[in-house]
Amino acid sequence: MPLKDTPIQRKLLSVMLVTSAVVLSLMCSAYIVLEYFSYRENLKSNVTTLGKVIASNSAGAVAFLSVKDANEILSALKAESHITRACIYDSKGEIFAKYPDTLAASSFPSISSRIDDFYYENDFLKGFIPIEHNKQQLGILYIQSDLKAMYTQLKNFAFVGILLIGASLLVALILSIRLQRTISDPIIALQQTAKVISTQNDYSVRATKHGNDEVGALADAFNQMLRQIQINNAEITAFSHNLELKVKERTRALEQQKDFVETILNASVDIIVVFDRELNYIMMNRMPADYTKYSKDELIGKNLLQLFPSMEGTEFHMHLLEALKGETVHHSRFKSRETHRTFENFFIPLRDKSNEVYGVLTLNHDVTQIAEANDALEALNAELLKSNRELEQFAYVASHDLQEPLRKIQTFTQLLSSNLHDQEKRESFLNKINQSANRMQQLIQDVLNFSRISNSEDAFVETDLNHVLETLKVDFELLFREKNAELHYAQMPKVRGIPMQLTQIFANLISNSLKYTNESPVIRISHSIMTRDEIKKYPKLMDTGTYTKILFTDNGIGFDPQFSEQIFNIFQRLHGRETYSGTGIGLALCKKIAENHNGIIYAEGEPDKGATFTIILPG
Amino acid sequence: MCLLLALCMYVKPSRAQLPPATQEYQVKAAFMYNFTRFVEWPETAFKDADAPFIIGVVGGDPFNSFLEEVVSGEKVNSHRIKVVHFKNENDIDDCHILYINVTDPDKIRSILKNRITPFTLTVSDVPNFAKMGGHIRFYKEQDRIRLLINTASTKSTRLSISSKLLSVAQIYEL
Repeated sequence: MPLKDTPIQRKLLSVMLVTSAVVLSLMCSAYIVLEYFSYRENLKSNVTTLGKVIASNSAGAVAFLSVKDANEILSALKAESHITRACIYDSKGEIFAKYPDTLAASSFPSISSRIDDFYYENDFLKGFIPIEHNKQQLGILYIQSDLKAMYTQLKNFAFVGILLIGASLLVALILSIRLQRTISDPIIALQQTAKVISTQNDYSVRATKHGNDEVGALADAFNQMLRQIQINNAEITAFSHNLELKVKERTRALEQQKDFVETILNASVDIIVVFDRELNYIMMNRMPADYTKYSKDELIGKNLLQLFPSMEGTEFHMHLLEALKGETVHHSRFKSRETHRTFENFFIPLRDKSNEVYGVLTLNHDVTQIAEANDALEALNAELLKSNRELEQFAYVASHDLQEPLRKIQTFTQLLSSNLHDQEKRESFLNKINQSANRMQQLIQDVLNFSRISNSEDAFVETDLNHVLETLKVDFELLFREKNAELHYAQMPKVRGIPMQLTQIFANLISNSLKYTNESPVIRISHSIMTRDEIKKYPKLMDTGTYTKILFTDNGIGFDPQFSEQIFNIFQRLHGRETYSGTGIGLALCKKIAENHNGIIYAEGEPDKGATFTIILPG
Repeated sequence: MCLLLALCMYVKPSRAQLPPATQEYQVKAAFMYNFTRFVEWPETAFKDADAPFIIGVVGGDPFNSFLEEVVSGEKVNSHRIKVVHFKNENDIDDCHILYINVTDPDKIRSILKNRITPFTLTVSDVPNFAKMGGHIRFYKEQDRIRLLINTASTKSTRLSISSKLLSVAQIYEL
């Protein structure tokens, strides 16, 4: 644990002990260092004194060359265990006596290395002392002392010092433990008071003051602070109570407002949705749930394109993106592939205070019924226009075609009245009048047939085309034989339709082929079920329906392809009545029947290469 | 210091060249000189401050010229050391150290009895010199020159002998 985190008691204890230890150690060290130097000084002076005594004592021995006496004097050094070596040089500088005398002469320094003062070298104190008598130098004493005793003494000092420090620290510890309480106890008491306050949130608790020192001042300040906190708390409580009331009031108002807005929103039959910039649903009325398989809760927060991947790239998607760029978009007709409904859509960008678009409000007004009514109206209108056109055409043609036999009848009646007496002419004119009347009748019959198709209200039933063709074969038997004609067809399908009209369409086509084929007409009828790709080639057909395609081919005179549509117009004739008989209503009738069956008829051909009529019928 | 140098210069070459007997007297000459250092003469032993310190040699001169050389220029206190040779016992005059190179015991006894002052230190090589009442006798022990001092006789003089000298000498006891 680092020191700054240790409890204050231990901190105080550590400070006191460390201080004591450092002071004691410093003192002991200083004492040992002092002792070291003073010992060295003392030793030097001791050895000097000893050397001087020895030198003085040995003067006689040196003067009278008494080696024995000299050795005896030196051997007295045994009493001084720290003296390791000594020797006496005679006046000639040669070693005269040595201590211990067992040592070789080479163990002693030569006289030439003599230094006047004592000196320390390699833990030895060494020195030369002149041997004099009556101021006359007789020889030189060399003496050497070791420092073992000093080191032993220093070791002892150190040992005692350590013991002393240990004992002192023990005493310091005991004293510290007792004395530090005067500092730490009030602090700990204060801390415990603070802890009680912080855990129980009881600001009425007060710290006890133990004295007038800094901790006492701290306790006073702490208590003052607690008083202030109590006052502040009371104020805050009152304030927060007020605030709570205000918040409740505001919340209620907001909820009312929200309910009001929601009521208005939900009262709308339009789909009202707000998307954020990522096209997530963020708000809506109850309507989306009615139109999709998801509930409101399932939609909120979800992404439009993730829930409805088919919306990707649709006009709706594009308009949303446009609105996110800040443009209000109005789209009057959007056919939703998801709901199969038609909507009038509004995309209104929503801006925040900094005028940044943060979302889009979409209003989708269901206009399916209006659109359908509109479509029906348009279809009806188209029908009416067509009908009107037909009527105009009819009136024009009728005025011409129907007037022609009438004019003939008028002309021949006038001729007859002026030639009443001529038997031959009379008969001829009456015959012409009769022919014109017959033709008139034929025309009127055909016009009636044509108009009846439009107004037919007969029910559609399943009709076997084989049966239709069998009947026609019988009806046309004489004409076939007369013209040496052939009719070929394989097994025909059953289709839903009006049998009378289906018989009429084939009858008209057969009649048409027989009429426009000069020699041995051959008629071939085949059929196939249309594939989906084939159906797509005809915009008028419904993608989802099934259709039967019937090919009706002859080997007649054919026609110029530029007339391929005209031939289906009423009273349209490509040839003069003198060349090919007919009222010009047959193919127009075929077209009308095919359209009445929600089918198509068209012709293909070339002059002298026959014609092919294609009938497409549902089923 | 001067003496030391002198000794060094003088003794060193001679030691190797000189015969043992000569060498022996060389040492003895030095000893003679050393006695002037370890024995104290009272000032009353001199007529005046300038009076010389006289080393007398009676009988033949065994020191050759060593003694003169050793003491040359040396002084005892203010007194110049002077070497005086006496032919026979009758010629003996007052001197401070007397080396007796006489072998006849009777003559020695007579010298000791009649020819010396309380300020004279007598020195000799003669056996029984101490026994005869002489002060210091040179004798040889393991080729080393040793001193034999008759303290009883020296006490009767007015000389005081340094304990350092006594400590290295053999003391003659009756």
